[in-house]
Amino acid sequence: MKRMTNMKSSLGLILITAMMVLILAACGNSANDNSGNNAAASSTPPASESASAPASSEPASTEKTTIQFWHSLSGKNAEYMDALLKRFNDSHPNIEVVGTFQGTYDETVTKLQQSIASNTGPDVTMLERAYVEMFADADALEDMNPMLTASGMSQDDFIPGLMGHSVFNDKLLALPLNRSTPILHVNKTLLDAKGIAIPTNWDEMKKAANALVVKSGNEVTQYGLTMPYDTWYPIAMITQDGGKFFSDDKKTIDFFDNGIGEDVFGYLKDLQKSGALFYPPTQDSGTVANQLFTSGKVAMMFQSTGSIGGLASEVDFDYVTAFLPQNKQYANPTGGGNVAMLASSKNKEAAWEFIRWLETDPQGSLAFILQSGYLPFTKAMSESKEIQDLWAKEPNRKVAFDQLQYAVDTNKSVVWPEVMNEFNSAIQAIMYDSKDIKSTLATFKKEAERILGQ
Amino acid sequence: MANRTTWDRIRPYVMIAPAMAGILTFVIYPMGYLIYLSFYKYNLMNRAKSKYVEFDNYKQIFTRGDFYKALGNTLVYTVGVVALTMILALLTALWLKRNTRLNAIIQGGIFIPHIVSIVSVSLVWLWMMEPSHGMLNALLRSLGIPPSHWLQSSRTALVSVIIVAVWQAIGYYALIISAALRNVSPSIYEAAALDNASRAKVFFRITLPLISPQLFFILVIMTIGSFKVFDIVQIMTGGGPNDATTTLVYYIYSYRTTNIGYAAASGVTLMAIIGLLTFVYFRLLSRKVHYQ
Amino acid sequence: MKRMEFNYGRWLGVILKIAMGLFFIFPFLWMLSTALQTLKETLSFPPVWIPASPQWDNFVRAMNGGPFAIYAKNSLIITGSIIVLQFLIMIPAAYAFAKYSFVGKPLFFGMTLLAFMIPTQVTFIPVYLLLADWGLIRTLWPQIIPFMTNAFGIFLLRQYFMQIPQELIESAKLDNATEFKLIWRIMIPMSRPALATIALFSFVSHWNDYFWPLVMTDSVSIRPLTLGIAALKETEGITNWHVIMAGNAVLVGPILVVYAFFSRQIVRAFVYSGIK
Repeated sequence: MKRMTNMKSSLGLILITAMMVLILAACGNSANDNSGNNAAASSTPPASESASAPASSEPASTEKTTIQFWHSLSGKNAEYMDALLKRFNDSHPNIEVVGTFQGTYDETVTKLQQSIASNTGPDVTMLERAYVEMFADADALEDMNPMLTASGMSQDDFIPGLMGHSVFNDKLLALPLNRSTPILHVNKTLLDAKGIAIPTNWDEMKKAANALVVKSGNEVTQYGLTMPYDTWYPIAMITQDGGKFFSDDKKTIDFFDNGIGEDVFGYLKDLQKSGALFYPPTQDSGTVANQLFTSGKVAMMFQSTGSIGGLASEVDFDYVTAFLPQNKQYANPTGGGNVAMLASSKNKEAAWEFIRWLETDPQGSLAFILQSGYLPFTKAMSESKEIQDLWAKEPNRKVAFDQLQYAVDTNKSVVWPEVMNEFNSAIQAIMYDSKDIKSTLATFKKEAERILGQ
Repeated sequence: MANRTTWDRIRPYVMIAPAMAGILTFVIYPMGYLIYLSFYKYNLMNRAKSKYVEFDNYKQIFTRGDFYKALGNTLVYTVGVVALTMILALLTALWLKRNTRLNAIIQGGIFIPHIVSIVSVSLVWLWMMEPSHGMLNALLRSLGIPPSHWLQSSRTALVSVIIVAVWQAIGYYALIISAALRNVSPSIYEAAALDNASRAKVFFRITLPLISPQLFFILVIMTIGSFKVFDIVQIMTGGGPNDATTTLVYYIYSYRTTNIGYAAASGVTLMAIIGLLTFVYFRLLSRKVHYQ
Repeated sequence: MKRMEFNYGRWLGVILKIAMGLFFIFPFLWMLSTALQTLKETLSFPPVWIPASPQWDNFVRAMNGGPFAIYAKNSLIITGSIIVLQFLIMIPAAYAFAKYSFVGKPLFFGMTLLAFMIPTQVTFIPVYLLLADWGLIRTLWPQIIPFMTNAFGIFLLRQYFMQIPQELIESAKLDNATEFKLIWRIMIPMSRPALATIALFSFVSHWNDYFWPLVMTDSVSIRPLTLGIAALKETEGITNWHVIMAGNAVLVGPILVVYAFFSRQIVRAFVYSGIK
């Protein structure tokens, strides 16, 4: 009997505690509801608490427009972005931009899709450049051409290599923001020790990578080259080899029939077999590659320009960057995020003012670019004193920018994200399972044509 | 009196009404919506651009190898995880049956993988399974067994994922089983001891039948839970290499942005498969209940 | 002599048990170790096991990476509300399924099982559109009400209720106990281990949930801890695992407390209860 009461009282206690939590929750929610779309949704959380006071307080007399800005920046880059938004809000008494992290690029895209469908979308968003075309196809983005002209700007103000995913059907749908490109990172200490020069073409790369291999017994203890698992690097190499990812008519791929695909993957497989190339696992592969590089276990690495800052501060060897080696030509794809205005935005004027300021104002993205290590995207920015000073101090960053003259994206298509899934499967089959290159790529071609033909 | 019988008649409906409301709103309605989407090449962001395609999405599902591969992976995963976890959890529970302080601590310890976020769990295993420098291969080499590629080869990737899933689940199910074991009345064992029955005999003749309802229950919930596996695949392999670990839910999810109509059609197909499973289990279950 | 052998066996058992415990606790230790390393140590290959000097600062950095007080409050409210709501809805439903026979029962029970089987990754888009339609997107509700019906819980609890002897119920009915009293005084206390199991399971899965809050929220003020930790990860460049793991270590704290409480309930209740 005693046991029964004991049980009852402890269970009762749990239930009562839980009830109180529920009531608390209800309060929190109503506070959010009352204060409307503006205050509650802002990133200043204490507002939602103070708002639980009587809802009689009228909205402030100054007409303040709130702009919702979704982005995929986290960690330090998010801090830099927050500082940028604060500068904007401080200098624009009538506009309040609220920036919110929405997950990775992919997750942001999913959320944009469902929020556009339910009319809960933001005014301005960051969009991974490869997805711009998909949103353009759904007429979800606003044409910024008229606003650009009205502000006395032109598309020529921007770095051409970064404008590949901006204009569709003569509409200006996105502008570059946090952009990067793959580059060659070199542990020059290791190369110098063997008297090897930094490779500039595939042949030199092959020789250098093999010469840098160190083995103890059968086990490789030092590799020549590594690169994260990503479509980026094979695409770069396809273009360096004179090919294109998609054919010009966008009906098929343009690197199979001409043998370029076999060439590229054959090259990579040769390096992998001799122990010269370490190809990391699919998951967290960027970290694994960085780890090998910083601990001197690999001499060279293909990796994003976005890593330069972090690597420079963590390595204790002579660290330099160089162009990706060429075969028939220098070439490199681009990556990272663009900024776009949603067609559904109700505050387009204010949204444009934010984008204009972000893109061109000296108080705008310049500081963000300097801090984060992303590429300068307007000509004015690249010529600014701040950037020039930075380059003088950190030539590695200048190399990244200079390489943009060879930037080319040949994988543009509205269905690229779906084709990318299939291409990933092909890369995995070849790089991890050592499946036959030709037949794997033939299968991939068939799948790509099916998707492109839909 | 008549009032009372009316109330008696509607009472069960009132009692299940809130639960059913939740299911109708958040399970049945979304599934209906998916059925609708599955007949379209749907453009979520611009409905005007959607195209009615009849059964095209379904035709695609059944003519494409990757769907069957995902289905096969899911079945292998489910059978592997359920069988291994059941056996190992049962052995663990038997081993830790006695009510000692050490056993309580160890039981707490093996429960840890279940509560630590999947990100930290997977990170550790990614390291341990690294082919050239990982601990598992170091261990195999020291035992004279050839090392494995683990997650990096399509032959071993699914097995590797199963190992991690089992490792993660054992603690939780061992807890349930050991609670059931402690529930078996000591007098039954004492009687068996008097009969001089062997330990194996006691286990198979007495223990196992007595805890079989719990085991059956675990079997059911684990089958269902494994069939909808997602997290561990997403974090450990991303479905690779070469689709070797793509399970059905992961497959469906990977089409969410690019082809929602196709994703919906695969979702409906998954629902049909799961519905069939439900029916079978429901049958088994009601029979089980009658025996009691 | 015989005694000696016995001791050997016993010590071997103890050692094996500890080894097994360590094997399972390893990721937890690894998480703590990483949380105290420098960035450079996390970048070592092969990995560093024990940090040279513990970097408690990582925890400060993690907690400064966002409004963590708000995140923690939201996490508590969300998981707490889910559990309360689930219990309020689940107990009467399980009771009805266990103790009554009524027209349509197999259908309704089948629906419950189906609900248990459909993963959220398949249904999240329609659910989002629905909740947006209801104007709830900027509140905490989308993270709570979709989980109001715990199908697994109904399933488990029904099993338990069915095992409670009918005589107990009959005798209570003779005492003129109402249905409510019957549930409160007999069914709930008798099925305490099941309730503790369900609560523990529910708490762990919703506390650690990343996917659902991510797709349902678009502003910081309504987000839980898991999203706060995801926001610590560097977008590009070098992954700061030391800070992320510090965040994860904070995340796991409350679960350990809840586990310590409920696991005792589960085991103890099983031991004493006369059910079966």
